Amino acid sequence: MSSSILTLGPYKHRKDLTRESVLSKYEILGYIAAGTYGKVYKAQGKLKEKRKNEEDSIPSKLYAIKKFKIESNIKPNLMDNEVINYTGISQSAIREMSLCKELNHKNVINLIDIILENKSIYMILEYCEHDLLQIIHYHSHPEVKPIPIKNVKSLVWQILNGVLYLHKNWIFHRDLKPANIMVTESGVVKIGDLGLARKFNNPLQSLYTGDKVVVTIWYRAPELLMGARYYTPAIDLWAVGCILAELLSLRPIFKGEEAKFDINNKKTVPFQKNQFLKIIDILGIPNSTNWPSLSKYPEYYSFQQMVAGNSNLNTTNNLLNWYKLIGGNNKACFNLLQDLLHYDPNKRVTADNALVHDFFSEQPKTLIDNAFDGLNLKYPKRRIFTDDNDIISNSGRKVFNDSRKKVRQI
Amino acid sequence: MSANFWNSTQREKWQFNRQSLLDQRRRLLILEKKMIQNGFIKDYPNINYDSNMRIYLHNLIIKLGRRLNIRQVALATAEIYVTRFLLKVSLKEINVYLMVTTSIYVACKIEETPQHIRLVISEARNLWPEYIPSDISKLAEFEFYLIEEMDLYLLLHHPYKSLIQIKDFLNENFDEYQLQLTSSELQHSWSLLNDSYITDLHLLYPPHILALSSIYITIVLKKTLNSIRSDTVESNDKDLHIDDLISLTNNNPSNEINTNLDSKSDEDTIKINKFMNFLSRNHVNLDQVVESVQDLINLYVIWNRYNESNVKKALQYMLLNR
Repeated sequence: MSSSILTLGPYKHRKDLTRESVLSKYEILGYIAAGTYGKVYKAQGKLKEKRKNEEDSIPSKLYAIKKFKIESNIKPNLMDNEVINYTGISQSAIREMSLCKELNHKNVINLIDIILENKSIYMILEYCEHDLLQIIHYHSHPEVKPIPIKNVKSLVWQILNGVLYLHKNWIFHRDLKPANIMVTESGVVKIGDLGLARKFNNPLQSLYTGDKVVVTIWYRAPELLMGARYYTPAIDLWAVGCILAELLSLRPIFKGEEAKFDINNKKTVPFQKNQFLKIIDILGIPNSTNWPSLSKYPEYYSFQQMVAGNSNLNTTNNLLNWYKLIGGNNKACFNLLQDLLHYDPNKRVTADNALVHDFFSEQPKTLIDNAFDGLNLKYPKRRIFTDDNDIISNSGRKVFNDSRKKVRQI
Repeated sequence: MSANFWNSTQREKWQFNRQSLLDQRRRLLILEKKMIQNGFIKDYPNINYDSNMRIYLHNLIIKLGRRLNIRQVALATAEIYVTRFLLKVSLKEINVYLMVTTSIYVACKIEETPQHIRLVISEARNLWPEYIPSDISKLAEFEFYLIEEMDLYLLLHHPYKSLIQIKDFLNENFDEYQLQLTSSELQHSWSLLNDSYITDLHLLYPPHILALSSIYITIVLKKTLNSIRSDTVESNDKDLHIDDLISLTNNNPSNEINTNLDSKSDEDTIKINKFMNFLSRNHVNLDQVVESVQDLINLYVIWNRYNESNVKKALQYMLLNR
């Protein structure tokens, strides 16, 4: 019996002969970021040889290439040679790819192509020179002025517009945060990183079953902190509220510390007490009046214990004080912020309604396609690292365990 | 767009008409011929992507799906993956058992009911020990090729949802249409949809057309069809009914049906009229419904002559002699 029957047989041979390589189409300029998912490279399209000679001066298009980290499952005792095997594409990678293939909206990152090569997945995305984390960081320097309200308005409007498109397609993003909101050089917002996004119509299982923890802690909605099993797209609107606050004050509004999983009991999701307390500091203790279903959440007991254990907790909503303290004076902007940061997800404003909020209809007019209009400053370009341009090799460790992993966090 | 079929890649990238489907399959046959001529693959004249093979593949999917206790929607997704894949890849260059296993594995992830790769492999190996490797990396490797062949368009819209929507719509608008689907009618339509994945219909028509076709058969042709599907009926008897059915669905359904149903009880006739009224009031493309109904009925005709062991042996001969 030939061994080929248990493999892909002659078909594999045929396909491998004709596959176009990433490097035949793109030139890698360096990498932008690395994370648990893998690594993002900056690249430019390779010009065809003819054109290269004719018009040397025309710059070729820029791309961001996201290479997914391979989940290697080589057993230590078998690790004589470093052959990386296929182990199955992760749920998150397959979601991101399949969703991005269907999506097409000016405020959602545009997928150009996906290349599968050498047991790796490469998502070729449009390149965005900026992201909100970097923009906020730039403005937080003492000598730089805050982001003008006009530009905040445009940014938030564009974010909401992208979020509305996702929600209309029954997709929630589940990881909105400044680092995932890209902005092009011409000021167009692109919601990126759909690695946690998923469809929410008719889930066959509780949303909790698939992913126990979603959304980066500072942007995580209170119903998630309360352990909600069936949450709604409102979780994305809470995150937009946090982002709006951060654009105004230039620092995270609820900067809690994440409670880590118990090493001995990885199945139990810890109650995020510190994060909840940060929210209470500004919004007050939630109660059955402003959040009727509060007592129905799985973490209600932990919540009660937390409240009982902290006698001097703020009981009233101090958001207005917070807003005044950071120098806010636009009433409509405050109202929008308050509508987004509602404890009760059922009362929180939807993307649909947020877009027609007074904040966007009053003067100055909302610029819907250029968030940088009138800014007489130039944001720095994305930093790229050129010490690893090897996009093809999978000789993992060196590439993924490097110390620059967190370089983009403040 | 993933919210509805009309803006989906299923419609924009993976919908064919009869001619383009034929062209695509012809291209594949030419490719297959070239590969045989160049010695890349051997020729196996008994391996053909015909209805028998498609019923066989459908049964493979159901078998493994049952073992893994997989939801119907995920199986339907796997069926479409197989159909799409085999538009571009020849049966003679692959191992269909591994293909079916991989399609189910990927479909479960896409439908948010992921199954562990080791479980999928071990259950598939229990069913087809001689064709499934114990090594998970072979399945994972096939996953790459499968999704690449589909150009990474993986999200699908199935007629099950349309069926439920139509049922709900009829309930909500009972005053207008005076028509409701009983739970047994719903179930019957649902099981017709399960079988519809053997055909090309999902590559040709929008999901609601298939849902309506399944209701059409359920309400209008149920009695006759049941006799075809049932194994207890004499074979001569079956053929007779089949011819009746095909002529019944050949032309404009509304006229034909009404005149052919004298023998049925009044109650049935009333229900059929109500359903036809519903179709015409909602501007459903009746030609598409008729074509779908016809394909489905043809399927059951062929199913009656289906011989599993022939396909099984042909595959065995090919795979063990490759």
